[in-house]
Amino acid sequence: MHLWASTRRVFMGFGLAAVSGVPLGLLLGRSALLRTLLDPLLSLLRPIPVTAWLPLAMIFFGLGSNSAVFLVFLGAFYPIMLNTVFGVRSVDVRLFEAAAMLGCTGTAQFRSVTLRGALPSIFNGLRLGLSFAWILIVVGEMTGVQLGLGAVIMDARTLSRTDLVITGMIFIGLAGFFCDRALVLINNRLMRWSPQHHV
Amino acid sequence: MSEQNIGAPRQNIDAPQRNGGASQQNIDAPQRAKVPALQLSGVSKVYQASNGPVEALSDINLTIPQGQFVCLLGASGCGKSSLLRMLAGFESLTAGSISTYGMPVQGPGPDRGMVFQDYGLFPWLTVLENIGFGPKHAGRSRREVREIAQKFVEMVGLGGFSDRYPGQLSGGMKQRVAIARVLANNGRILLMDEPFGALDALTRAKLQEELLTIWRETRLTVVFVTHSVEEAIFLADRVVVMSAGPGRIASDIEIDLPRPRDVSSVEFNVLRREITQGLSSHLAPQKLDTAMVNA
Repeated sequence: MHLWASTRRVFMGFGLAAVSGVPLGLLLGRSALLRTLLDPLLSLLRPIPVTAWLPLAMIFFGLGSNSAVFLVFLGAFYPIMLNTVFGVRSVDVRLFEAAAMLGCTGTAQFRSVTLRGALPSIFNGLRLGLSFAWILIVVGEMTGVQLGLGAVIMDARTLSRTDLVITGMIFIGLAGFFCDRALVLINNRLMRWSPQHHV
Repeated sequence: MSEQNIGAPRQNIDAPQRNGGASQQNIDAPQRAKVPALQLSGVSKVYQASNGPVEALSDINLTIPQGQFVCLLGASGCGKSSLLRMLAGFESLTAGSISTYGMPVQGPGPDRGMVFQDYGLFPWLTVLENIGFGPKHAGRSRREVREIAQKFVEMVGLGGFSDRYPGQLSGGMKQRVAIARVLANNGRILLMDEPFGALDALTRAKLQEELLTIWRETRLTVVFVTHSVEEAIFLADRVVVMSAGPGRIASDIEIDLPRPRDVSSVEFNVLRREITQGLSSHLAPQKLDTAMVNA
């Protein structure tokens, strides 16, 4: 039950980070104008530790589940977005030329070259983001929620139940591990063409 | 006497048939026969470098008729690759104009296929998918794309490697895929930027022969950039020698040696010596060594 509550929050926060981080990263990667406009803001916000956002998150979203989801989102967002930008920027220019001379331009080119070429980096970002998500769910759940692995660990601490604390830690480790394996499976399927991108 | 009489009318019957064949070709491509495949007039290119503008190409005029195999030959830095990239539409001109079959070149397009030295294959697509890339994006049906790709993968002799990824192929095989990919796109002009430069001598020779076979079968117009005098004479109908600083056409030489050409024949080597000397004379003394190596 605790595990399920945490997993749900991780997936929500991570999902939000993925659906916002990947498209934003793709845009930033392609548009120099957007990069110059948004980079100062993003670079300014990035060094702020996610834990420092906790009080503000509680004021905005109240005590409870939403704050935890927000922290997960914040933690997962940056690695996903930055890796996507890097992925787009590192696609070989030659491939854009090749696509253009074969008659593939515009959105078709974006889909079949930009997105495909950035995919290895996007997956790298997703894996990093997911591991941050599992780290931050515990921080997010340490205050104000009854259900969740973080709550279990904090309660066990108050009761000096070392066994429960350790059990909670093991569960988090296992949950994070299995989520990562699931991503790796998808990654290896999509990256069949490149043994070096297999995990 | 009677035998000669029988022989004479026969020749007369043969002759009109040949003419008929020729006029049929003309009907097939009435426009192409008149309008050159590529026409460059007054093409110049000036780059903005950190220490001021650099004139890379100056007043290039060139007319390439349909079906001709042209080699652009020159030492590195003479602007031959830039010129090719302009033909492809990848680079803009500072002055002048380029037209293909009478239409101005305004950007890259499927009518002018490019083969890069570094292949430019999509690493995430199989050989077959790479070759079918153009037809697929031209909106052909899945079955058509597959049929076209199959046809051209066979044409370049990679039938057994259809489902491999580029990362699993040798350089020579990759370049075959790149050529097939352009052919599958049904363009009339093949632009090649030192396509065999990174290959070993044996593979290079084999691909040169195969390219000539493909050219003979498809009657494409080929513009082939190289720094190898031997390669140029072996392949081309016409060698356009370029000199650097700024890039200009130094000489335009018709190669009328019979094909297949023998690299070791006297005529071949007379031409080779002539062109090599011409090339070296354009270079500053300190660059002479590289020219000798490249030749």
